[in-house]
Amino acid sequence: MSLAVRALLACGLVPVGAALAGPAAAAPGDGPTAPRTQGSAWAWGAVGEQARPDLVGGGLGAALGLRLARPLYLDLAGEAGLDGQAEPWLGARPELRLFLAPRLSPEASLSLTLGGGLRWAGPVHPDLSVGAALDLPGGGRLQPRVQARYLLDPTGGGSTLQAGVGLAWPRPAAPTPAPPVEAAATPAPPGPPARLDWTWVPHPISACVDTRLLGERGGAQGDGSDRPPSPLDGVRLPDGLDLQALLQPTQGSLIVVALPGDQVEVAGRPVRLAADATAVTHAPEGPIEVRIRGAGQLQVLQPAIAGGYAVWVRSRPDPTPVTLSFAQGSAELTAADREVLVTLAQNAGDWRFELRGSFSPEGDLARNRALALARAEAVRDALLAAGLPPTRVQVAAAPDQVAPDQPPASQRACTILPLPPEAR
Amino acid sequence: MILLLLALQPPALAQDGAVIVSLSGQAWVQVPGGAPTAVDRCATVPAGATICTAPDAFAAVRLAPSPDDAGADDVVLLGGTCLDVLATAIDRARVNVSRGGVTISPSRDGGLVEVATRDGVTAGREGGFRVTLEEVATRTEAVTGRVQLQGDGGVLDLPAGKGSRMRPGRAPDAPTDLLLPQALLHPPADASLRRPDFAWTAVPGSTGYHLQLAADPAFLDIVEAVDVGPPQWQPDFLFSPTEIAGLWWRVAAYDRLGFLGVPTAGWPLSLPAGVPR
Repeated sequence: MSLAVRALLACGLVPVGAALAGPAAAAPGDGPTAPRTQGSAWAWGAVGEQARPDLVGGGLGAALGLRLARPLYLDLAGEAGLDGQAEPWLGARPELRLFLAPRLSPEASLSLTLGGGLRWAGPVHPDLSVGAALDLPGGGRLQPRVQARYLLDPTGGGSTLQAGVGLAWPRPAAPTPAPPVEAAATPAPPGPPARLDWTWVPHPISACVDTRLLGERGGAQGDGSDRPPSPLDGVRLPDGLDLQALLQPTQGSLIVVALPGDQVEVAGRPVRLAADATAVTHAPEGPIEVRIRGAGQLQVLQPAIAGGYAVWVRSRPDPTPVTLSFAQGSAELTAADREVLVTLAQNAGDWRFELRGSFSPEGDLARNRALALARAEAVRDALLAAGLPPTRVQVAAAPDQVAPDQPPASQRACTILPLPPEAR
Repeated sequence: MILLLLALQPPALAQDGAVIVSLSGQAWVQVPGGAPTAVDRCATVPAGATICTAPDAFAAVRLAPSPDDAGADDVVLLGGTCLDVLATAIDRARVNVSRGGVTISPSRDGGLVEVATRDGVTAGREGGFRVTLEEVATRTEAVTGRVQLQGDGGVLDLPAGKGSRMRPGRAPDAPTDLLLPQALLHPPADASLRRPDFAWTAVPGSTGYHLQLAADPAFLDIVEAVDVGPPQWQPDFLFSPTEIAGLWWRVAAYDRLGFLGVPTAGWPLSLPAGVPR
């Protein structure tokens, strides 16, 4: 027996392994989470008795380990090498491998091997083996392995010690702690209620939902899109139901509150008003343009539509009269006045207009009343020229007196008073 | 008085939290030592944390760790309010208003709710009271439930229908009668809200009105709340969720001392036909 083998046995290999593992290390279920198969490969060298040069030398080996029980594997190994006289040989070696010491560290483990082999180098030599391997931390799925094996020829032909390094894969997972044994007679002490994590599911559930019922909830949506974050990002239903899909449709409702006689366009399309001068429409999320024409004015509203919400927008509550001023003694419209009247006609909607001419106190009353009427008629003609139907324009009778409490420039005028359409 | 004090004798406080059960607009929760975090409804407000609403936001906080605890007390925060959730327990909760105003909804289980401000504490077991932080005082309105005002300079029992103010270093003001509601006129109850033209009967002696539109009959899920002068309101713009059972509106009147009176009963409205639910 070589000095190396003596030294190994003197250290007490098996007791050392058992001491490292602890009393419960080999208990079923306390080992690493074992993969079903484990591969390994190694290179080794051997020293032995010089009388048996066929037992020394070096070589390469590979093995496939099959899990028999949770910590116990059957390694089926093949080897090839050169002996002490540089003669080639081939070998086959089945071994039992018992993982003993997962508690060394979560990354390391110790295993013991016991088996036998046949070596063919012309004649066939049997041997029995006992060994140990230490799988070291590091290397991802590959785990460095240092191993030693003591070989004994059962025919009494000698013994040798192999030492080698290699890799094993995949690494056994870190051990999972054994579940505690419940003491049925001792109820658990009452503790504070677990804090729940609630998620608001706006549509169509519209309620606080316990996220534990929805599955794990992640942070970012992680889909690389530019869509805004949602409270449902990462929420998974156990049955795979897609809550984001449930949130459809993303349209919102728009309720336009107009006045009788108004004409409404939503996103450039005319909308028919109900008898109460309102309209209910739907639109996708985002800003939308609402144009309301009526009483000679154009209002442009730009509400934002949100899915699952309704927005009411209202036209101005009171139509505003328009007053055009004239020069003293004149019923002539200026170019600016005509532009105002064209705009008014374009935005008339279905409104009617009453034209009220007026005058300042200078001069004869009868002449002034005729002047007031002429001013209203000038406005009427301009409105008709701008396309307003004659049925929607009416000229009021000239006033009998000057409008009180008004500056003269306002008294020499024509007031255009919007009137809603007559009830049909 | 003694009986009331005995009735208000608090049990030990637990350090639970609260849950935001409704939110319209933006709100933030800040835990001690942390930065304000924007939250959505159903977010938890740990004990010791502060929830603040944006000026145009409304929120309701259930003083329980679960939104399913329907027996817990609810606190409604109007816009621009900051509320510290100090502690909540089954039979006692304590909050602090550092800005704005809150309404404690009528209580279902008789738990004690204490609302602290810099001027004192308003405590009640029946809910149904408001606490508003003013510039130099704390205004309390006992709308439907009696409360006790614990100011620096004394204690005042305030029955339902009364209001009072607390100021630093002084006893609470003498109680004043809250204005009672008149009738709502338009839209009529159960009407479809196509045209939001609200009108109600004027309250004699009032200086203005506070209208609330909510998505629930308990007025926890407030959609809009406005102060107006005349007894009518025609909003140019209104915004409401559609996945709701309906809308309810009510009005209360301000008196010349600034106390907000007893609100009308909530009238139900429905969303217009054609709005998808």
